[in-house]
Amino acid sequence: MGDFLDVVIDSDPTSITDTGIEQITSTLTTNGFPGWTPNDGDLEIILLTIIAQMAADVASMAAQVPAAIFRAFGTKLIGVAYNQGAAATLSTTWTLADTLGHTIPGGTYVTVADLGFYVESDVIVNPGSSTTTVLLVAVDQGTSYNGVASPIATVDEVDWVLSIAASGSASGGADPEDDDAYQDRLATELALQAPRPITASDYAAMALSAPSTILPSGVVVGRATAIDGYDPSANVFTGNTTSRSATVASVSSFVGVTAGSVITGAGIPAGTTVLSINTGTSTLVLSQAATATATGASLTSTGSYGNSRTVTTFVTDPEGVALSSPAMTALASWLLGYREVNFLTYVVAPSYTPIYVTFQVHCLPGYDQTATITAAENAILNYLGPATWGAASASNGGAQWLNSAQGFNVIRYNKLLGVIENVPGVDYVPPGSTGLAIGTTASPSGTSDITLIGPAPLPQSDSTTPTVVGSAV
Amino acid sequence: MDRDAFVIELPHFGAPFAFGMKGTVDVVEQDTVEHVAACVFNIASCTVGQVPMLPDLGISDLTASTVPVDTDGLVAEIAGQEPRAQLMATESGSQLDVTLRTIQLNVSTQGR
Repeated sequence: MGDFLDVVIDSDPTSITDTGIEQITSTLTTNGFPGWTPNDGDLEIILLTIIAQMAADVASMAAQVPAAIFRAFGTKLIGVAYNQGAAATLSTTWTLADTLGHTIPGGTYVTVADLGFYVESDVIVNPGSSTTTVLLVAVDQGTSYNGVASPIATVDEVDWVLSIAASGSASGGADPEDDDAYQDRLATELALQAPRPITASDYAAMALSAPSTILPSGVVVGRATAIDGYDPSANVFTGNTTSRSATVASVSSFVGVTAGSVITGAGIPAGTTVLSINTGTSTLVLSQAATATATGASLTSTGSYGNSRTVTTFVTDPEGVALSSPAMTALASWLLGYREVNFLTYVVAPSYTPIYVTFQVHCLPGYDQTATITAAENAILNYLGPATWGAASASNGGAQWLNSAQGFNVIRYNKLLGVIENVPGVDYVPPGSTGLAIGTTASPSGTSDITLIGPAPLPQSDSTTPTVVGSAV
Repeated sequence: MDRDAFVIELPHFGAPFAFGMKGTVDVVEQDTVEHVAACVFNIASCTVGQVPMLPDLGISDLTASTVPVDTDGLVAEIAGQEPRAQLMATESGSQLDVTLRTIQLNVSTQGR
């Protein structure tokens, strides 16, 4: 046991010397000069033996390194201490020669069956008493002290001690842990420290580190974000809608309906979410007014927040493209294996919102107008690209993205202005929609921020459709 | 390798250790009188126990020996370790310091 790193290091000086002699002989023989024989009086042999001894000393130290590696790894990095062992103890009864009162000093040495013990601490024998109980402690850790009981004798002559008798036998001694035993225990400790996703960020990080063996061939998780408490399930209920009113009355069920849930159904505009619910009055308020009046309209709520023991992870490939359904199912099963039963782990695709941008720029003198516009278009495409949107941290290459729960679901008009104006060669963007217009449909005219729909939305824009068009002014 | 390119075929370090004119280490041919003399030089340069892995190599420490030195014993001691050598030791002293002794060892080999 404990044979985790088997490094064979020759630390025998004679063997090292023999190796040196064999090499000299072999080299000369190979070169056509057989017959070289060593002699103890030869200077090279004398030198070889001395160097071999030095090499053996170094090799002996090197041979200690494998155990030292685990020792340092375990004690310093993992914080698993060596078991130091324990000293055996023995309860004894001391009978004194008189009743004058004495103090048996702590540290007084005695032998028990020729093994060393000492008095743990001062023991005061009051006047009038001739016996006392004294706890003896073995001078060293180890099991070899266990079981001894007699004979007991003081190392230094104490004339007022008449006799010492053991109450039972010594026990409790334990050997210090050796390297092999420590390595075995360290392996067990490490097994208990297997990765466990706890926070939402943990789930995203684990999804990004998913081994290729659990995914369909060729699938790579390139981006991920997770929301704690979010359940992507859809729930159907009925309610009464009123045209031009955001309130839905007579809601039949609030199961899976929370603020932020996406509501779909007849007379409900696209992208409508729940702003608030009132179970007492069986009503809920939508983010947009209904476009039709209906009684008992069938409505669907998708996604709910604040669910206990529930985490949803949104994943894409490195380009921000949604993974296939089998890949997400496999990923969910793999993540679920790291949590206790009753945890709900979902892996789903993000929602995508196409973003259209048109802009005009006035270029600085000396800059190529066409190249500058192309650079500005690329800057917008990069900013709005699903592969880069909401990059949470430079440390992970933007693999995790910020989601709605983290407040990152708005395409900000002014931010896009900044992106364009930061392009070298751009002097300014004209004001208003003439200079910059954004929207979710072609030929946009908006100058307001755009809120992306969904819990972990990604914008979509590309140069082939194109969704970003620049021109000069 | 071209055998003719080497003067020394089975080399051993010469004694005392030295570099030659071309910067190479002086070596001697195995089993020549120069080789035997080099071994005798090395043995006589060590005291017994000085080389840990060759504890029997060397001669007895002569520091506390009486004058005249037991050259026969010295020769026997060396010959025991280098049986190829035929040794003759001559001792001479200093007129200024009778404790300072010089022992010259003449080495020859038979049939070599």
